[in-house]
Amino acid sequence: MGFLLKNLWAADKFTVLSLPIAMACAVALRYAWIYLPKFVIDQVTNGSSVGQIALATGIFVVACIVIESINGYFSGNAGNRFMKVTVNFQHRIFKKTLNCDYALLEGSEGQTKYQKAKSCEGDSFNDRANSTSMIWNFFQTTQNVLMFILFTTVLSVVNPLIVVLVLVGSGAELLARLAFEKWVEKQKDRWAKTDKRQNYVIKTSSDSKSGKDIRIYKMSKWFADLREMLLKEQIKNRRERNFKELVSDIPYLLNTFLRDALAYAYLAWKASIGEISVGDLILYFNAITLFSTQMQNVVGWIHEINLSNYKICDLRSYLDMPDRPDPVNPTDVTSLSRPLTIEFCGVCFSYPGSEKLILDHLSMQIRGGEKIALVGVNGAGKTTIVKLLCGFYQPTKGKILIGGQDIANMRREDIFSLLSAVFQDISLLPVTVAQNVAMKKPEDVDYALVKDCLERAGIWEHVSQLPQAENTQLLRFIHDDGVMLSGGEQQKLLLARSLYKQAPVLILDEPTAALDPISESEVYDKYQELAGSSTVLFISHRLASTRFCDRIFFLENGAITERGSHAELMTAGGKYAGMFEIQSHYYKENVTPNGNLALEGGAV
Amino acid sequence: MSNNKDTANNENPKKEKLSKRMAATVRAMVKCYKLANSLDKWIVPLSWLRCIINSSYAMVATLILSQVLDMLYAHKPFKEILIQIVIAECTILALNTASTVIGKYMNIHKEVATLNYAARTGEKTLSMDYPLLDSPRSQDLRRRIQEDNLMGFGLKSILDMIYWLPRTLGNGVTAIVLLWPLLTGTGIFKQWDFYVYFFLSVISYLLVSMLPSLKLNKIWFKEMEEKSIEKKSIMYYIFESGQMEYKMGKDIRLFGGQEMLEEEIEPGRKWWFKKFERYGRLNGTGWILGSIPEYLLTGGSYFYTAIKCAAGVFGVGGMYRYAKGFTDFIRCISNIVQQLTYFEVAAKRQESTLEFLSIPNEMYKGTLPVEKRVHCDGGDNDYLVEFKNVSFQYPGTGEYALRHFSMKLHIGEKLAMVGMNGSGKTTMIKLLCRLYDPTEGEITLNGIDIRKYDYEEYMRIFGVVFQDFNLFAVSLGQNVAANVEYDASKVEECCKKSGLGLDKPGDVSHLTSETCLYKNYDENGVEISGGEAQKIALARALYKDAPFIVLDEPTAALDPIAEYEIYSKFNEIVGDKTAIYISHRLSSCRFCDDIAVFDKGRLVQRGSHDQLIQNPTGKYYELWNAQAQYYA
Repeated sequence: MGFLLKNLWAADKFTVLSLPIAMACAVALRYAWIYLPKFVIDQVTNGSSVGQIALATGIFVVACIVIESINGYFSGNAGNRFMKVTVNFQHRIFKKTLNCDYALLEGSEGQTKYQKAKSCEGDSFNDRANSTSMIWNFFQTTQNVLMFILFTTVLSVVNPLIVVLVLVGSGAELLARLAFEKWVEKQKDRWAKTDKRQNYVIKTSSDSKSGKDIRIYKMSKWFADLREMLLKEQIKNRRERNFKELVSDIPYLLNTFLRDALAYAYLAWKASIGEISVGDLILYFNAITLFSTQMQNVVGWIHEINLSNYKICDLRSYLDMPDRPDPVNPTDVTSLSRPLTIEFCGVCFSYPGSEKLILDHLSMQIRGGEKIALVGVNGAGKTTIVKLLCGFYQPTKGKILIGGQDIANMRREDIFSLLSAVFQDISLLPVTVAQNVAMKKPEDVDYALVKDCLERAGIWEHVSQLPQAENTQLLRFIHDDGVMLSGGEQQKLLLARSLYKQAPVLILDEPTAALDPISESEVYDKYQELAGSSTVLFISHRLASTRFCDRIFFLENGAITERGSHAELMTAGGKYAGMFEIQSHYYKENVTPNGNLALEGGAV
Repeated sequence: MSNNKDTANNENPKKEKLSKRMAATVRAMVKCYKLANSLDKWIVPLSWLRCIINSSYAMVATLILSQVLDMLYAHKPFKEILIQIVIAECTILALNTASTVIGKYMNIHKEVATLNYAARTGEKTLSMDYPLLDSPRSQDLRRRIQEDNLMGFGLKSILDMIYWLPRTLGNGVTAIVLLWPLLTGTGIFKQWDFYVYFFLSVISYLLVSMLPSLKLNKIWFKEMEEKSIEKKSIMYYIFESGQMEYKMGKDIRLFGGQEMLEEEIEPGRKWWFKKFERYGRLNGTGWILGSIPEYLLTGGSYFYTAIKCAAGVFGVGGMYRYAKGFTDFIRCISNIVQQLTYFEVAAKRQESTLEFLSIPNEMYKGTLPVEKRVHCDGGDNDYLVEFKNVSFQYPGTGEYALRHFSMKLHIGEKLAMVGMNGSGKTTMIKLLCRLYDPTEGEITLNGIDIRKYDYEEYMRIFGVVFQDFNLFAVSLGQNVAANVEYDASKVEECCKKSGLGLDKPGDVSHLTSETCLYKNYDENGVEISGGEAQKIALARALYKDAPFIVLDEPTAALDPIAEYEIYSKFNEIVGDKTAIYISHRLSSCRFCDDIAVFDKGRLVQRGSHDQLIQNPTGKYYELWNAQAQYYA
């Protein structure tokens, strides 16, 4: 709670200061409210004049209005201003996601934490975010406890036994309620599973992305069946829950009955023997009713605060997830001699939580300015090498050197500053084309360089025809006039992004997969020019690309088994040669269609 | 208040406007009720029943207190009072129990209705014509639905509203019952001043409470109508799209995009902060405006009844009862007027969904059966598909994706389609599968326009692997069979053909036909690689065993060896089916009998590899050499 209040204070001081006043007013008001009938009745029974009654009621009403206005204005404000905390938290989650170690984010533990943190603050303001509701509930509870104390004093004046009676009754109610909540807690995961599945089914069927497959394969009936099945289960779960809740309501019903009947009878008896006035009767009776309602509310709120508290803890554990500390005496990367060399020395790696060795004592040396092609079958570990080189993950064993220095001794930012890459996953942002290339704030973008990079990537012609050329927004999510690019165009844009950075090391992971043959060939033709003096690591299933590289590393089972130039490896006739043969098979003249090829080198 | 001036000058339009608005509100109310009723037929009767019971409960509770007060005032013996209390409390217990039980049933039915509502949008999306799916209209509607829900105008608002009407009416009836002796004015209650007080207070209350709050409501609704770009800040893109949560992460870190993104989201935060402060002020002001008449009313009612009581018109119990009756009745009237406006808005907010649900399918769907013989196993697959001078524009774009396109597809032929990005290959497939209808020209199957065939039957003859295919988070077997029921051995066979080795069921280490894909449906699901997904999609097309098989870039994610396996087994995989193969890897042309070369939405060349390669000025020659030169 202290954590939340601190955040609220940072977001909105006015609210924190106004809340105690609002609370005091609310309590005073409740008190006045139960006094009003007694007040008026007492006036009447005392035989006051019309003027006196008018004056008394008038003063009372005006006082109430003033108090209520103060309370209402502050509470009304607070209710909305609380949400600032939620927005701040959403922003902090977002920033954490942008800045934390990549390995944390990709790993399943980090993903779970992220999802939990996200669900804590709600994806929209529709479902109340936990921070907002927790603060709100906390103040409500405090307010109610204060009222509770006041009513207890009022009631104990008549007979302390009444207080005991109400407490016992409410206690029984509370116990039944708690037992029910405990039971719900146990069933919750089972219910949530069904709900999650149903959500998936409904969301997927409402999603236009799957439209083609659903129509071609006539899957609408399948979806309908799944939904029906899950709905039945959901209804069953709801029935179960409501029935159980009904049972837990029995003490409440009985308590209301006994409490009201006994209290009525007792107070009426007191009044009939003249010990209390008729006005007092109304006062006490109202007090009892409010007292019990207060108790019920407090039970509910405490329960909710508890739930929110768990969620807030989830949120904090995500926000406080520690990054790997940067080295104390980092290497000065600007002093490294260019072009940069890259070296892997006996690197072993397996993903956190997995036993499988992806890289097994892998060693390789790349000379400064050298262009290397990394080749291997799916799952041989090519992409993992890229992730290690970028410092997203650390090797389980062995060392990685850039420019002769261990990257373990470099700061994260410094490693990043040395590298530029086209990753396999296409990842464009809903900002302008120029910003997508530069990844900078609009005022920091070097537009001449952006244009130059777009030209070199072979997409300037297309970009210049867009409504606002390089200042056109991409994607339609935020801007209705955003432009959607085809797969090939997106890939060219990513290439431009990697060029803009002008880093000494360039990593290209399948940069031509979505390009048509002519665009692909253009990229190859311009390859030397694109790469410049950078050290390049090129990964591709299209072995044609290897021709432009100085050397080829063939990766198999997490280690490099063959290395050398294309000509050398072809002469050696190893696995690389086999793979190249396979791919070039259909490109050769005079192939009989469907003619079989003996796979050389046992590559299959 | 320019509005007032206008209406003062011209009485008639105002009346007309008012009656029009009343009619609109009533219509909206009827719509809401119909909607709720269609979602779950118990909701409406249950809510009315519960309200009747709750009102009776409130009535009995007030009456008993007033009765006891009167009896005490009249110094009746305690025993009589006690009997009165016991009877009343027993009635209350019964009513309270009934209300609680019905409440639980209502909860269940409310949830059923909510689920049904969500399901309907899904159902509609499933059954809608494909071109409508992403048409500007349905996109716009989808966005509006999202906005309406975001503003809290989902189905819940309708369900609340359904409950609100009987509750308010119930409160009104309770109040009238409480006031009944005064209203009927028999005996000593024949008081003309009661009516004067009654009407005066109703009118003044309405004036004091309604005018400002109606105005405030108007501001609120306007506030909520406001469409804003800031709401959709980049942060919401990342939160809501989900897909880029960590895939984006690599680029953002390596290129240092954090600063840019953090700055992009800042205006959104400031916007919300300002909004919250404004909402807060509105809310606070609303609270004050609401409380003033409330207290004046209560104070006034007590004052009036107190005077009457002091004058001996009725006892203390009567005073309590009538004061409450007054307050409740007037509150009920103001509640009705205020809520009706809300009703109107909430109903309006449902229009987006209702409109979406009622988008009519426009594609002509014939009833002709696709000839019998071709369905049967061992049928001769006797098809001739012909594109006759077909042109096509995607809805909402001015450009032709296909232009005067004519082409014949022969039976049992293996056709490769090649061309640059955006030359119309995928579009042609979409037209062939009737996902879209041509803008001009026609496509025929065995000489008859494909629109005249029964849609479902026509779809049955195609097995397609789209470039952007989707698999679902259910079991592998269900994915391949595209059905809840599947033949495990056939699934296995198809997977084997597509190059995906399956393990025997029960082997947990790897994929079996029972394995659930992805983790969003079942936590024990497995994440699959792009290559595996592509093989599963191919297996799905094979399982369908359709006479036409279309493969759009089916090997883009595969390594050369896996790709070669598919190539070399291609004939075995497709058998004697008609096959269309689209690929940027021109090597695929070598095992197809026939090659169609696309350029800028037209068919520019057609023939076998050996024929096409002879023409050095042709597009095919250019494409082929662009790639083959590296392998020579």
